[in-house]
Amino acid sequence: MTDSRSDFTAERRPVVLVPGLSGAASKDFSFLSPMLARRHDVTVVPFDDVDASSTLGDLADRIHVVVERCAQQPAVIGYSLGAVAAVAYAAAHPSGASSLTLVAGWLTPSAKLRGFADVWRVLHAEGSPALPGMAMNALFSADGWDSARPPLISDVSDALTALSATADVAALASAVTVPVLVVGCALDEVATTRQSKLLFGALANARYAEVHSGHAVVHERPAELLNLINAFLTRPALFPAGSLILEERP
Amino acid sequence: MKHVDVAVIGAGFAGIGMGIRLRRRGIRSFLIFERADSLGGTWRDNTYPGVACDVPSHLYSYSFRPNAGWSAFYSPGDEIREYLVASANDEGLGEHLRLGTDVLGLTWDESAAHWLLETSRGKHTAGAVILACGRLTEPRIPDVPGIGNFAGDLFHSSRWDHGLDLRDKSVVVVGSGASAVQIVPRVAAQASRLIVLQRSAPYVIPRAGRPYSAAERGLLARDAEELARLRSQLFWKAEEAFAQRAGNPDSLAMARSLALGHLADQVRDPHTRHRLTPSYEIGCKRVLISSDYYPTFNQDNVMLEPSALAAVEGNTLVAANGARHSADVVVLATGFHAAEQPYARIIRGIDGRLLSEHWAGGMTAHASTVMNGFPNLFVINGPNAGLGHNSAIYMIETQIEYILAALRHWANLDGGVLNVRAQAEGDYIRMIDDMASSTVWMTGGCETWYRDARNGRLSLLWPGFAHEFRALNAEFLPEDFELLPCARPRIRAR
Ligand SMILES: Cc1cc2nc3c(=O)[nH]c(=O)nc-3n(C[C@H](O)[C@H](O)[C@H](O)COP(=O)(O)OP(=O)(O)OC[C@H]3O[C@@H](n4cnc5c(N)ncnc54)[C@H](O)[C@@H]3O)c2cc1C
Repeated sequence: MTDSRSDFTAERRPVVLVPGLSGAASKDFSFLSPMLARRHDVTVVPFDDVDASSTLGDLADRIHVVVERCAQQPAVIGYSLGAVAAVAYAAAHPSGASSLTLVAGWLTPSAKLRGFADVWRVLHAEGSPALPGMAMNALFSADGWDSARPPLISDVSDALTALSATADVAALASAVTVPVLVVGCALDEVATTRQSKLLFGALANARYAEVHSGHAVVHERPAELLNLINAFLTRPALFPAGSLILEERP
Repeated sequence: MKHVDVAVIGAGFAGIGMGIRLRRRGIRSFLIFERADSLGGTWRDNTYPGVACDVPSHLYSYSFRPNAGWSAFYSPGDEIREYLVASANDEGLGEHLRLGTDVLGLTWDESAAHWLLETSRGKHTAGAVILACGRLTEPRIPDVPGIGNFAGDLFHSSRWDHGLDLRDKSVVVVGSGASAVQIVPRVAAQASRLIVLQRSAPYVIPRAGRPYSAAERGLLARDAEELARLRSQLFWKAEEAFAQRAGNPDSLAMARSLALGHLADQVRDPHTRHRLTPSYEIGCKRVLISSDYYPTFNQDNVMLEPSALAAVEGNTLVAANGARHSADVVVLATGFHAAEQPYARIIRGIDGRLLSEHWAGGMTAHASTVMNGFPNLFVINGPNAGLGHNSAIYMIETQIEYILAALRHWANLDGGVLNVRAQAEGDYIRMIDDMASSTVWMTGGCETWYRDARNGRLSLLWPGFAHEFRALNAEFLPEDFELLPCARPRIRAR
């Protein structure tokens, strides 16, 4: 992948980050946010105070509020549930974002995702000490195990986990027209690789890249993700809609 | 006088890699000049006890010559040298190698539009020249009074005297950088007394090195995909460390506490620990990887002298703080002349301008590879092409790709040679300075060889992620160049 020299020094673009199950950019984007901020103006959408009554539409509204504050159309980058919320947002506001990057997202919650949310709810209610281990097992791949830190209970929001089990954008996808980069994770057994690929199948202007990682790609392979995102932000149309982007081999 | 399309100077990782890729492209008219009698560069010269790479072997090797057989996560130096020798042999570089041939002068001949090479074994001409002369090649010998008259054995770490038995000897190691941390534990196991002269304390993090099992090697040999995946994983993991160099406070704090925790775990004496604690921000100098360096200072026969070498009197070393230590053997682990490369003083481009003049304000090159006024000349691993956090080979391969594209462009021309525009080089330098300004190398409060002492510019390192270097510089852009007239295209194959 290449970007031309001028892009490095080009004007900074607004970028909006939408977190996943933690609800906090400081947790899900601890690497990406400061590194993207070297070249772009980064704003984050806070989800950490989302409560049990919230809907996917509420998350989309929160994205809308942040996007409206940007000087120009921002690139919106969502991770996990944040990616699903970004699709809902772009369907409701087709001219809001300049592009979407959907990392480890899904079209419809898979049975495994619903299962994860169920086990989470039960173990949390019991105050089970097995909760962090269970979450780590589910979210990290075997290959990414070395970089796995057992997630703190506070790293995953109950409300967002519950919401993820019902967050479905299958009926909204056709309304999204902006350029989309879908990043699936080859070893994602939570959102599932298949569901990320279905986003790619459903979104008209999407291209697909895959990272060899579990769902916790923002911790397992953050630098590789950064490379994919930067390349896409610099030249969204380098790979035409429908492209499968081959993995770069160092 | 023999003419070749391409001359490569140096037979280390860069020169051998370039030769392999040229041959695989079907190009046969090229020579590789190497002043030493064997190839290997860094890995031929550095044979000190404990020498090994500190980037994982499966990453610190050519992507186009994966080696399932690496014995360890960080393989020893002689294994790396053997890998390079085998690579050159397997790829048929023998007929192109000119060993024992020192390039003494390189002059652009304007009328013939080619380079004239004067070597210790005669003259050659070449349409294009690739400098693969390395960067850590010229030993830096401390310029202190009396050093030439030391009354015992004194040598640089890259010129190890293997004839010497260190048992029952009193040894001083000068320096505490990347070579010293590998040398010190080995010498401490032999010498009766070891003193380490430390000008400034390095940050040291744990080294998770281990041998690969037969099963692992067998798997990698049988499943190429497995090997490719391992390399990717190692690469992207290493990339993460750039967040520290970029000055990200959280990453810095994490790295600092890893290193200082390692020190606290490994050194008992609080006084020694204090002396081993760096006074600058982590990453400003190379972060060292070792799990046996610190424990050495718990040994009774080892002492740390936190001061630079100031003078040599007979068999006594005088430190800047006034301390005096006698020694039988002195090992200078004092690094290399990196900022000013000797080859720059033998290269004359358009109008006889010396490369060292072009670089008087620190080394610069467009795309880290080409210099205005030096047509069809390329430099690998030169200005702003080094890394503090990932594998040099990735950078070298990126530059090889760029050069191959340039050569292909040149071959397709109807005559003419490539001279990069001054404007392009200037823009690139401004971009580098801009990128560098917030990095820890500029803000970390240390004295580092990564910066040019003459003006403080970051001239050696690429101040970004390695993958950004490739995104930016893998592509050869013809519009960055002007064509100088030349009667005939010289290259015969692509
Ligand atoms: C002890 C040590 C450990 C290192 N470990 C790592 C590591 O773990 N990871 C990493 O990324 N990097 C490491 N490096 C950096 C290392 O130098 C590079 O990774 C790499 O080996 C550089 O290859 P090169 O071909 O550019 O230069 P070199 O290996 O230095 O080769 C240059 C060659 O050019 C020849 N030459 C120079 N001038 C002339 C001339 N005028 N005429 C003819 N021949 C000439 C020299 O004799 C030499 O053989 C290490 C360096 C040292 C010193």
